[in-house]
Amino acid sequence: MNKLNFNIWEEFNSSQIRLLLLSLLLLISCEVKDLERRRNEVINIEIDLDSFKEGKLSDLYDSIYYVLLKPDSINFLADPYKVKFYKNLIYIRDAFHNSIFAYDQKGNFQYRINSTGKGPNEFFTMDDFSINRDTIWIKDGVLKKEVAFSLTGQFLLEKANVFKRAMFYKGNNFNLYYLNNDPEFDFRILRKTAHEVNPYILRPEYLINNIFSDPVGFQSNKDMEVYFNLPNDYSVLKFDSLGFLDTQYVFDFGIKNFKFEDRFKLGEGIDHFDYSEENGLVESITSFLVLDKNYIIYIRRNDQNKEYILFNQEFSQSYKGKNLVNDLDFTPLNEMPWSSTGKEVVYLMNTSKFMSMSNLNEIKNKPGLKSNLNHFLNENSSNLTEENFILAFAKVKSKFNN
Amino acid sequence: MRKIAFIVLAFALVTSSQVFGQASLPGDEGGPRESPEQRRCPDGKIKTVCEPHDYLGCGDIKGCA
Repeated sequence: MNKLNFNIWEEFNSSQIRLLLLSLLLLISCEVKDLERRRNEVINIEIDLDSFKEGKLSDLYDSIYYVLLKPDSINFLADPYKVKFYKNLIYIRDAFHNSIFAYDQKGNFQYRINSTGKGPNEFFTMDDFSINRDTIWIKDGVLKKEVAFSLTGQFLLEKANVFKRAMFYKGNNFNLYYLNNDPEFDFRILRKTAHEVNPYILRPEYLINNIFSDPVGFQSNKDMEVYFNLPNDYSVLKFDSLGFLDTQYVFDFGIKNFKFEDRFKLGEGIDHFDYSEENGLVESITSFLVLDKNYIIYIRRNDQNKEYILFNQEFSQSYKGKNLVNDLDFTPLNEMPWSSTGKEVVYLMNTSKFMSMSNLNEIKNKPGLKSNLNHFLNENSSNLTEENFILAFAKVKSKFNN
Repeated sequence: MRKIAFIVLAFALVTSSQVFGQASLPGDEGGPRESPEQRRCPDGKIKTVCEPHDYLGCGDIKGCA
């Protein structure tokens, strides 16, 4: 029984105690350092939209390359939404069909992952999809599960997933969720692993049940850091490669900010639109894309102004311009930047809008076009007259990649 | 042996702060949300749709311009 009288001062000599205390101090300091690294730093970036000058697409891009997403006899896109590029294939979530369509780089249809039903190994709806380590993960908020497929479209496995409709990112051993302001949660973003849950960004009351599906969603860079353009906000969130929130970049447009309380008081009707239009206010960051060495922001305001801002990796502005005229091939490429390959900004448009360009016949014969427009029109003449979709790849100027 | 036990106990005390800081998930209650969903159109405008189409059967309520 004597042995139970445990006195550490008797058990350890003074040098051992010093060593032990030193080890504990080191352990504590490591943890503090680790917490500091995950400090949820907020960085404010001021943007004066009044200082933006009219610009040209050639300010940003070297050239444009068009690809028609060609249908086969039974597989045609109806409502293409999220577009991702992974290992030489183009993956597109079709929001109408609840399917993923895969195309090669020339736009030839490869295969389709279909919503087939509510049974085992099936999915019924698709909130979002994410590709990680050669596996395509589809999240189904109705059946509360996630279903995995190979890069050739073969079923691999399924798992339960408790979350309702959410945008999601599948990382290595963690998931990130944008919870669509679900009232069951006090936070807008969750990081979840098998063992822990980390909530981020408190949900304001006025956003409860506001559901927003962004065509870009979560994006990662080559270092596997993850970025997310927060809906109904002016923030871009950066997560480290383990999925912990690292930095919240908050963009401040000064007098062009649309106060969040005001916009929800005005509702979604004509009053909201008129107020925003009359004052040239910024509703949100329309598009934020991660490039290999840059970030690009596109803002579409209700007063018809459209601004582009290119940031370098330190989030310093390397280009800003508004209402860019397409001087590369003169097509009215005025859609929103929809996706990114890292080196190119990708736009999505339908063929009817493209072919309705009044000046198409005039511009296709112009010399010195910096695009494949002529070849594209000749090669796809039959498919362009039907309702199909086009991706336009705009190559970011090499001077921005140094 | 007791030295090892002491070191393990000290390590557990130091690392337990992470565990105490964790949030828990609410219970799995309720079905799919039946609110309209906002989406971007290719031109950057926002359209509002009822989703999922097949589940609610209401289709688009405000389409892209």
